[in-house]
Amino acid sequence: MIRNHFTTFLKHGLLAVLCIGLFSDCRPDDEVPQFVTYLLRITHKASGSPLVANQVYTDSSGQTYSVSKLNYFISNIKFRNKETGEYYHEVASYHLVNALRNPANTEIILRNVPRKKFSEMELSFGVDNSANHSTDNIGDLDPGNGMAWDWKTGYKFMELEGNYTSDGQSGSYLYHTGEDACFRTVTFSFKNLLSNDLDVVKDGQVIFDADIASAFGQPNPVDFKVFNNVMSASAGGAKIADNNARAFFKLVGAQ
Amino acid sequence: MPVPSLNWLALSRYIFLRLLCGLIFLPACENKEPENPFAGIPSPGNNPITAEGVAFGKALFQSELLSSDGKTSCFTCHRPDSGFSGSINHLNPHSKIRRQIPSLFNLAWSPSFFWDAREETLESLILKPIQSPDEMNLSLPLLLKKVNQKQELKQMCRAAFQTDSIGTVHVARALAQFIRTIVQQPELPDSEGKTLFQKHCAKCHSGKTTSDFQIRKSVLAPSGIDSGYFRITHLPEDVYSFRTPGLAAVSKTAPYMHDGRVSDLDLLVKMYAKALPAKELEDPDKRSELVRFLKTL
Ligand code: HEC
Ligand code: HEC
Repeated sequence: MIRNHFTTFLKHGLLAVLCIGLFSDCRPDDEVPQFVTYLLRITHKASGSPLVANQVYTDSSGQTYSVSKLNYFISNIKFRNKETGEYYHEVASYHLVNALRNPANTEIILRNVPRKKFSEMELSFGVDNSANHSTDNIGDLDPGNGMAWDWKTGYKFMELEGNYTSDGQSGSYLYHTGEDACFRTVTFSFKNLLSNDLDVVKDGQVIFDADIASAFGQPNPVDFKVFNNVMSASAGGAKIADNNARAFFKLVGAQ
Repeated sequence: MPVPSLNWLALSRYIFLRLLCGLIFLPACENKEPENPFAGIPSPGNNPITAEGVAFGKALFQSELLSSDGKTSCFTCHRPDSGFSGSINHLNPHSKIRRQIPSLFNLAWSPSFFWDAREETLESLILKPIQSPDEMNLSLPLLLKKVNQKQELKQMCRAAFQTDSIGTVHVARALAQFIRTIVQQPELPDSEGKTLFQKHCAKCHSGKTTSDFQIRKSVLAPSGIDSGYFRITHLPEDVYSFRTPGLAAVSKTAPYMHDGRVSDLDLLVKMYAKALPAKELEDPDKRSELVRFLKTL
């Protein structure tokens, strides 16, 4: 710690001396910042329409559903350039999203993104092993946020709850995924979207549509009548996690 | 975000003082250095045991503020005069708790917690009884509101963690520290009872903690309602498996086993004699030697 500060101090001092002594026109105002801030913007949807709490939607197999609760973790956000190997990894990257709080515009702030070109972005749904085997954590992982399991150590990765009707039968559903077996990592190509790399030069944003119909869709379509109560990976959580990994997030903009 | 060690201030102060002592070489300094009474107790790197943390944890452990009815503390169930255990028969008849209240000795050495080993760290476990509707039934936001209204607790939190804004992490860490200091590991002289214990029991109830804390099928046929570790793994081989408990202060922790199905130690040893089986223990004299030994643990 102390040594770090000292070397930084030394460096800055030297730099200042150099600036003043050698390049008298070197003024800090002209410096272009090395790092910028990016916003990750999420627009929540349900079967193509804006997500609104308790509104009724129809899924691809004709069942109807509503959403009364949708909380989930996003973690380990990275930007990467597959050619140059250049890389950004958000420090302590755990974000709890309460989708119903502001469904149309959930924002996550990514700080200290280097001014580089990136070909793809990566993020994970859930909490990685290194943080999922103790709840002795603060910030979004604080157990006070209500995402710690009550039946074992670790976090719920997603709480998705609401009502359904299926073949004339109605009821409520509750899908709580979690445990290491539900952790999923997904990548999104900037190249596909922009037909080019994302060129980070100033503050910007990356925009996702998040359609929760994914949870009930492929590859494990849900029949609400028989599959409506999930509270572990082995009881079906892993299937919901696979569905979401496939289609929950869709990259729709980056600038 | 995992918390960096909250104790860095105390630590740096300590290092500074040590350095000062070393530099000026004052022998008085060395003498003042108190012996760390918790040195032999394992604890996670981000929650080292300190006297201040233990004091704060103990205050929380006995505080009825941690319950929604304002009448229940951890002590209500984990009674100090019963080896920090208790019988669920004393609880409100509406309680849904079906498992006996375990004693809390030597848990610093255990890799898992609860009868079915479902918790991996004490810090994670602590917040469960506080929130459980059948135990203290208090939400964490309400807990923080209540404890942050008590000046004494805020001061204790400051002494332990250098902040007087009490967060869930401080409650969990302080209680975990206090529980880790509940240690009982007597060195017992050789006796016939000790030999019998080594021979028939120490395979599982091993070492100073009188348990290897492994998860295994109950030797004495359980009552069969509670499937134990199976509820966590859903693996058929884990049906009726439980974590092997330590036996410190076992004379005070009756009734025994996760379901409290064994009322006293004489009966327990008789049942083990049949179930293990241990022919030798069918002899009533040998059995009473073993029971006499168990009572000294
Ligand atoms: C209403 C009674 C009750 C109260 C109050 C209570 N407990 Fe417990 N405690 C239990 C029971 C029952 C178990 C065993 C549960 C199981 O294994 O499923 C237990 C287990 C534990 C264990 C695990 C012990 C082991 O051997 O694995 C710890 C640690 C613990 N409690 C700490 C606490 C703390 C700290 C508090 C106060 C914040 C508390 N308890 C309040 C009933 C209670
Ligand atoms: C094969 C391993 C094994 C052996 C050998 C064994 N035990 Fe146990 N013991 C266990 C397990 C597992 C439990 C918890 C079972 C349950 O709750 O159903 C237990 C529970 C107990 C308990 C209950 C503690 C409490 O807090 O309720 C006592 C007392 C006990 N054993 C004493 C003994 C004695 C005395 C012997 C030797 C005669 C012995 N055990 C041999 C595995 C063993």
